[in-house]
Amino acid sequence: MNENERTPLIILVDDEEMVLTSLRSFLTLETEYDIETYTSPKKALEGLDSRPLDLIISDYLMPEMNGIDFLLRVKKLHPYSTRILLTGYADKENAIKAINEVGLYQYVEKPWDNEELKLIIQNGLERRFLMERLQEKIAEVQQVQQNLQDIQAQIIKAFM
Amino acid sequence: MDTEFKPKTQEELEAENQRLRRAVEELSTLNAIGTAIGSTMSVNAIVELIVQESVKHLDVEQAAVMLLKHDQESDPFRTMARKAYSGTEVVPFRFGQQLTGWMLKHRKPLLINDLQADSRFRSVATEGFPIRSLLSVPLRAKGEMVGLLNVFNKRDPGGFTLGDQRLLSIIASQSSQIVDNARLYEQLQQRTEELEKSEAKYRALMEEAGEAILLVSSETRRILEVNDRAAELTGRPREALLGCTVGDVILVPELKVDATYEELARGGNVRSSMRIQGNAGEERFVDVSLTQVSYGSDRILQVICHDVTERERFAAHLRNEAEELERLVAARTRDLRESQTKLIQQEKMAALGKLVAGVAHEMNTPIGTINSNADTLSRSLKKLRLLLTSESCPDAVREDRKLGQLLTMVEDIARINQIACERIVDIVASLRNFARLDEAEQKVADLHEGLNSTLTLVQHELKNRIRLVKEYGDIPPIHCHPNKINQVFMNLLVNAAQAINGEGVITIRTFREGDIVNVQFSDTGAGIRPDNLSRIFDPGFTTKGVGVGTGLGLSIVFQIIHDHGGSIDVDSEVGKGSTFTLRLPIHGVTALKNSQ
Repeated sequence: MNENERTPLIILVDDEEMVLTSLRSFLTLETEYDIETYTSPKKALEGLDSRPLDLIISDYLMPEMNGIDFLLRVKKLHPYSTRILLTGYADKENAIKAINEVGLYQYVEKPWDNEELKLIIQNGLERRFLMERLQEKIAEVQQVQQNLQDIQAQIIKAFM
Repeated sequence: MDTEFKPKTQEELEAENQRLRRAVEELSTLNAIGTAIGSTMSVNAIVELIVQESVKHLDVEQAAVMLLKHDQESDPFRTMARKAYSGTEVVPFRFGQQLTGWMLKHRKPLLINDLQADSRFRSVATEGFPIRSLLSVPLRAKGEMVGLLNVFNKRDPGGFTLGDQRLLSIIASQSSQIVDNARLYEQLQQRTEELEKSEAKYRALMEEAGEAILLVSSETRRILEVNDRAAELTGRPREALLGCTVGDVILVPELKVDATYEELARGGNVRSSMRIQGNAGEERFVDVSLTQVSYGSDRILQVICHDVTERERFAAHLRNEAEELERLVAARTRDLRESQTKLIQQEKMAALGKLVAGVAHEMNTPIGTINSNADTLSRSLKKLRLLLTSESCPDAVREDRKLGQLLTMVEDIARINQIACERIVDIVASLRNFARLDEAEQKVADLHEGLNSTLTLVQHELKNRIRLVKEYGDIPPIHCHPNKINQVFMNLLVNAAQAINGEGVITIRTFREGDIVNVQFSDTGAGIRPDNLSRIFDPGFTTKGVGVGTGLGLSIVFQIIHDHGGSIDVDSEVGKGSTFTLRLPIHGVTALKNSQ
């Protein structure tokens, strides 16, 4: 975080306004993150491809689409984002099956514990930034390699 | 006899000789008639003999006997006995009314030597037989006139003499009694024959009837006659039955003897089903029909026994079958009802479980929110207090007592809210854990976890009056249906709590014995009466009274434990308390089945 000066963006999706308010209140009080909340997963997806995303927390059982399908779409747009499922319903078995598919970072049951959730978010963000930095390093290495290849080509050209 | 002897002349001797000869002849005639009559009892034969002998000894052309008929006034002489004999053969004899009328009227011998000259009997003649002279004497028996003996046309030109009349009278008196006897005898024989025929007819009827028939005297109540079928039915020969009473044959007490005889005497017909001793000593069922009939002055009880043993046996067999079927149906119905009750109860429990789970899950979101808010509120208040106590805060605000009090109050409320909320979170979690609908049928579960969840839910039953002692041993998780096992824990814990009136202790003990896990629930409650101990697992058995228990709790416990391949035992002492011990196989019922 210290290298990335931008504030992490967290998106919260739940069809229940009360959950969003609770989470936003807690996170606003306890953290410095940018928080966006949506009661509609479809609304949340709108324009998501053109903006950065660090962490997303979604409810499972929602009228428009379930949390697994929603997070699957998010994964396609932002593969390195950290995705967390927050569920109050019993369909644990199916949810767990979907974890691998979605690349779920964490599965949290309602009623949740604020402190625990805060830790999960912190760790998730750290992971997300580590991933980002790893990606950057890989790009740098690739750039260096390219440069080296270019130089090598110039040297060969000069000597020919 | 003359004692005086006098010499006689030739004529006198001749006459004497003649007289002696005739006397000898008469005597021999009478002797012959007497012998002949004595040797035969047929009226016809006697009559024929009399007419033959009369013709012979009285030297007449024809003799005839007419016998009086007692029962017919118009023609008093019996046709059958009108026999005439003319020396060659005996023929039927017909005779005018005049002579017989006279004889019937005067009842004394009649001697007429010139019939044509006698105006009284001018028309007397036998058919085709002209009569010139006649001699007729009555045949008497016991002083009564029973007939006539007639002779016609004396061959001797001198005609009938008084001597002839005397002789004929002797013959008549000699034979009349015998004729009458013979006639009576013949009548008797005829009647006897008729009776025999009639009896044979009735005997045939009796024998051919196919039913056992007994004739009993109404007076002596002894058996007078039985048919072969009766002997066959009773297995006693006819001779053995005769003289017995009906009660000897038909098994009393079914036959109310006196009442029956009275009823019969009133002319009733008694029909009754009775039992008799059969020919192999076995009991036979008979339909008995009793009727009183009169034979002259005798009153006879006619007992007809229709053997219905086979029918009765079949009926009894059918009855048994029917009873057996009814019993089976009843048992089956009871079983079905029991299992239906259990099913309904289990369905109810399942539905309740679903409901509880549904409610619990629906509560997750609002409770999660409240819980989170309570925490956030506390954190916010902490920050608020920090702000209010920081030096950057204006003194007026920092030292405002009202504000400080308000803040403290809100902090207290937030803290209490948080505690209350945590408890709700615990209960909801326990409910979820108890119902465990989110899980597959059988799984490996930690019984301690289930016990704890259940205890949270029955906390209100325990309140402060019951102390709970957990003696959890080292037990492995077991294969089971956790929600059902939890239901067992629930039922046993609720029962234990209800058994304790006032204060007491419930001890939960768990320990392992090989492949078996034991869970023991002991209470210091009222205990179970020994006579109820064997029934507590029966469906519907309850001592709790209407509205308190369904009587199904322990039967469902039993069923669930049984389904898990386990067992449940109870040890109880009235006034001391009860201990229920569950024994569950670690590897579940499948493993148990495989190992068997």
